[in-house]
Amino acid sequence: MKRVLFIIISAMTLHSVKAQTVIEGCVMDSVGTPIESAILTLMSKKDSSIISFGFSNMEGRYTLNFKNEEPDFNMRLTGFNIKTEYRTVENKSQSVDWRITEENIMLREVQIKANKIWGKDTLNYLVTSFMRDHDSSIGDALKRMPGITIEDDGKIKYNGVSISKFYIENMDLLQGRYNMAVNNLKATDIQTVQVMENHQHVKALQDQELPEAAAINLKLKKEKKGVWTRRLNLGLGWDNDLLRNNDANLWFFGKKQQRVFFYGNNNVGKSSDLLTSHYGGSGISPATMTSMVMPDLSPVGNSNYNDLHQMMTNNLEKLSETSELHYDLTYSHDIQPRNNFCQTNYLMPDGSTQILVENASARMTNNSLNINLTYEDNREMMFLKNSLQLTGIWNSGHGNIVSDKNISQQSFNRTLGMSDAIEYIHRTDGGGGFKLSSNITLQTTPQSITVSPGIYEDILNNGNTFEKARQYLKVNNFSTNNTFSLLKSIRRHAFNIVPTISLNATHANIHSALSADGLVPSSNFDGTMDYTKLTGSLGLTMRYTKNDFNLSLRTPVTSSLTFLGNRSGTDENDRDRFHLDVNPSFDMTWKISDYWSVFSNGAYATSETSWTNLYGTYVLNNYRNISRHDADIYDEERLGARMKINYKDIFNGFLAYVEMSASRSNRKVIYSTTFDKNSLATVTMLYAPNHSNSQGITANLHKDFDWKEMSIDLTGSLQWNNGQYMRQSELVNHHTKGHSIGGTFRCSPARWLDLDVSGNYSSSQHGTSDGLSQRGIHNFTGTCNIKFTILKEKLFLGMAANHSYNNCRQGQKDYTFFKADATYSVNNNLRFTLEADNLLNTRKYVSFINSDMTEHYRVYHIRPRSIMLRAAIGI
Amino acid sequence: MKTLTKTMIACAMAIAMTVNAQTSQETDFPPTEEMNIADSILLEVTYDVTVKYGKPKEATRNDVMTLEIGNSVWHSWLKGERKADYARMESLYTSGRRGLGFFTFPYTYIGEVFGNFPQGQATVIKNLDAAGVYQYREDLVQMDWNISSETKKVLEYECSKATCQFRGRNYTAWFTPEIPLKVGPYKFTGLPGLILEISSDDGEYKFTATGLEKPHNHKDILYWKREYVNMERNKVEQREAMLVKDPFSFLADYGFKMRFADGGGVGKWSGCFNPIEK
Repeated sequence: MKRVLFIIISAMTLHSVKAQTVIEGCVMDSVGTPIESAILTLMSKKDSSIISFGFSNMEGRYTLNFKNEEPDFNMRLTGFNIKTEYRTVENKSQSVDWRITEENIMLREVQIKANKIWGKDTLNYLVTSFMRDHDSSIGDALKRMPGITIEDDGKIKYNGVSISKFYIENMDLLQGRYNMAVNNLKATDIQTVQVMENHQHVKALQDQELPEAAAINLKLKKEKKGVWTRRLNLGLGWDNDLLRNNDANLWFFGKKQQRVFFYGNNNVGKSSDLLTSHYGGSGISPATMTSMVMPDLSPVGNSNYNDLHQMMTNNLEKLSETSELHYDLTYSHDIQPRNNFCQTNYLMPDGSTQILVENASARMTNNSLNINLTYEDNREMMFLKNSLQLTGIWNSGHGNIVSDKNISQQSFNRTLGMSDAIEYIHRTDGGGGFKLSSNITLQTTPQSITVSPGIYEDILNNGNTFEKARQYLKVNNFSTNNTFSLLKSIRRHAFNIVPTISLNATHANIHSALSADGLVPSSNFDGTMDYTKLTGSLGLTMRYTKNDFNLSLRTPVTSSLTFLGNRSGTDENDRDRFHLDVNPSFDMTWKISDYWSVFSNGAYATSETSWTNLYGTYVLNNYRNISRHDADIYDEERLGARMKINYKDIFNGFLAYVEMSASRSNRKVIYSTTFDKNSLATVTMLYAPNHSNSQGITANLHKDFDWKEMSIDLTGSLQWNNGQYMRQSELVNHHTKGHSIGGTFRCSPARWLDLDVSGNYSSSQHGTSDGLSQRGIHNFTGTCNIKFTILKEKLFLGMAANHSYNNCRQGQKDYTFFKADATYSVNNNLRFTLEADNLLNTRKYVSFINSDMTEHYRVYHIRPRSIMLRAAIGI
Repeated sequence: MKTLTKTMIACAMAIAMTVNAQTSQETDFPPTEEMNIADSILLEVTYDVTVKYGKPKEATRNDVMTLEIGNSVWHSWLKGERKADYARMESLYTSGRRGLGFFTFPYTYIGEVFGNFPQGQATVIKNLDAAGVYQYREDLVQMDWNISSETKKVLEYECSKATCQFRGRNYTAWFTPEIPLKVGPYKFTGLPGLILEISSDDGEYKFTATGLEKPHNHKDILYWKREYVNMERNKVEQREAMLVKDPFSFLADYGFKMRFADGGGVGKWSGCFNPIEK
């Protein structure tokens, strides 16, 4: 029995030993050098399932141990850059050596498909995932990034809210003039675009309430840091005249300095948007009370016959880890000849329409100069910023209006201003602190208009005709705003109350002279006014914070003292008024989760009649309007609230928001407009309590799809407004209801094709409570951009079509414009583009808009078909 | 007009030349002299990384991992962690002090991994902010993979399924024999093809390949030779756990007084820590 058992166990052991197969060997190249990390895989002949696998070591040796009953197998040798080889091997322990053949591995889709977006509170967009070879600047890639939109004037919004800062390598070189970077920096120079949600720039305030706005930071590629980037864009073309579009820009982004120099000129109708400051401006703007009627520009573009020169230098010096100095200078010089035909229909309270027909041409020369010097020290416990700005804006022009009679007009406006703003924040170890901010603005604005032949004969010359009327006016104004508030850490005190004190002062002095044929008709037309307003307010700011919920309630009690002196043209030359107000407001931020957030704010505010609307002497505003304001000082009450609900699943490319707003204004005075038989208006401000209401809701959806890099963006809105107007001495209730829906669709159906289609339909109804209604307006605008890649990274063709429809246009209701371009990229530093615009050579465009009981038909002269060759050169 | 144009161009050029004269190529960070070449890169793979870190339970972090694969060495790092690492080191190099002045997570959750560097070993680097930059080395982990016949496509590559258990978690990996490399993200290796997707069965860690690139120009795997605190793996993990449990006391041992930006007290803070290796 023991013998039998021994034989059985021995047989089983023998069988078992036989089943454990060992295949070993060596992998070498053709000259006998061992190959490491080659992969040896043993696969079943039946179904190619893996039976065993192993890797060669440093000496090229490998060993495969396995148990299997199959008689033989397929054995595979693979490795990176090694040609795959197969052999059939028997199921027995043996040695199998391999001699490899090198072969470059061919990878499918050998391209970066890296994650497009990553991060949490700071989102990082990988630029390469959003750019196309044919992009000319980072702006083209920004438009494709979920959540980011760029408006027509270059303003960037994130989730529907304007960004509060635009950094390049964490430094705010451009101080709000970020159109310069968006339009001139190449997408290939940028590594990532960061969106910092709820961004607070001031470190000492980062424990205070959460701002709603986000900031954008461009992270440059390593090779673009610390070196000068020089670009020259040259363009020469022809329409019916020689066209040019040239600019040169130099950029330097270092650790201690950042600089940009830009000079550009063009006569192709490109505006000076490049110098537009979207935040941090000087606050100085012309106090314009009289100006020439200037024909506006067509809403579809291509009607600007300009000659623009502009330059800019922005410099940032990093003085230490926390402090920096900015010094900037911008200058633009623009000559704009414009003309259009305009028919204005004024709806009268009795249902009749008064029509003003104008054929206007004008030529305006605009100059603007801004110098800025800013010092900033941004620490966790202290913040100091002082910004000094000098601004000069001067323009002059002349023009002709052909209406019932030929009217010529000439005007100038010269504004010179200075402002200084200082902000100081001090924080203590205990989480307390204070914030002090103060600014001063000084400016003077002399201005004039001359109109001939003389108009408003009844007012200015006892009904007798005269040769010309000249209005001269000079405004000097000064204002200062000073605020002091205590700070408490909301991290330490979930509920806290801090006081805020502010002291503000405004002074304005106006002097005007209105003459007919060089003679002042009477003392009523030579006027002055001194306006002074002192405001003091004391308020409490209450904050409640719990986790990601933040509520702030402000209750300032404001007392104001207003003095009017030397006020000519009214019965009461001197006047003073004391007023006490409470202007509460609130802000609420609630980040419910990584996906949901809610923002809300609201305010009750009162504002006094502005000093420009208290001037009692007749002022010839333009040839269409003469105005005087003999009303007293009144308050306008405004109550408004807004709520926005955001949903954001950025990694799945889905963003959505709904925004609702409502406001109401109550006024004691109203502008009364009286038209004469020639439809020229006389505007006076009268005591007549009135109000207006406005409600709106906007919803937006954005979804990105991986399939064909498709993205869809849809926006819909509804608006209701009603208000009161006084026309021909009658108070009229007017209401407007409008809605719009629009969308953008982007897609790359093939590697050589990019589609970008957008459309917007809007409709509005206008009417009065007396049953008078104006025609409903239906508008559609659509654009379609197609880009073809003919030779990868080399040759691109582009076509664009813009379509516009309006049901109220007389005659032609549809307009379509086409343009095309071809781009040849020689290398990274040289690219040629041939552009052809207005291919159908459409020479006029008619627009129709309706606002405030007034219909405007305008016929614009469109620039003719043009062709331009551009060269983008990197030096 | 011509005169004006000429004047403006002349002004711009003069300013540019003046400023040009004062600047030159600036040095980059990290210092190039401290970067040692470990290998040259044959292939770069990017992974979308999702980590559920625990508080609240569904809270996730997303990051991007780059896996640089060389002839013999492979190297994985996370964009988010590298950003914090560089910021911390820059602060150290410029101020001479460790610890960023503002509040950041003072730990890493995955770390930077060099495979087969040195030969047969893995080098793992974790920057624990004020506590220092830790480095440990261990033998390359031999993972016991079970390969199944199940397949699916990832990044348009046919992948096979494999499972294994590694330091407290069960993982499911999808590897492609079409790319015959035995590596994957983090420390995951030992399959007969590149791992394009791997996730822990508890759903807390997931790596999904999103891109493959053969570098167009020569690129190297770089090892930053800097001052490390060298310890064994378990000791580094213990310290990281201590740091998370009570970061302020832990860092106080290193002479750091931590506070929030507002200067207020730190209160009771419990970090959200869910390390990949339990």
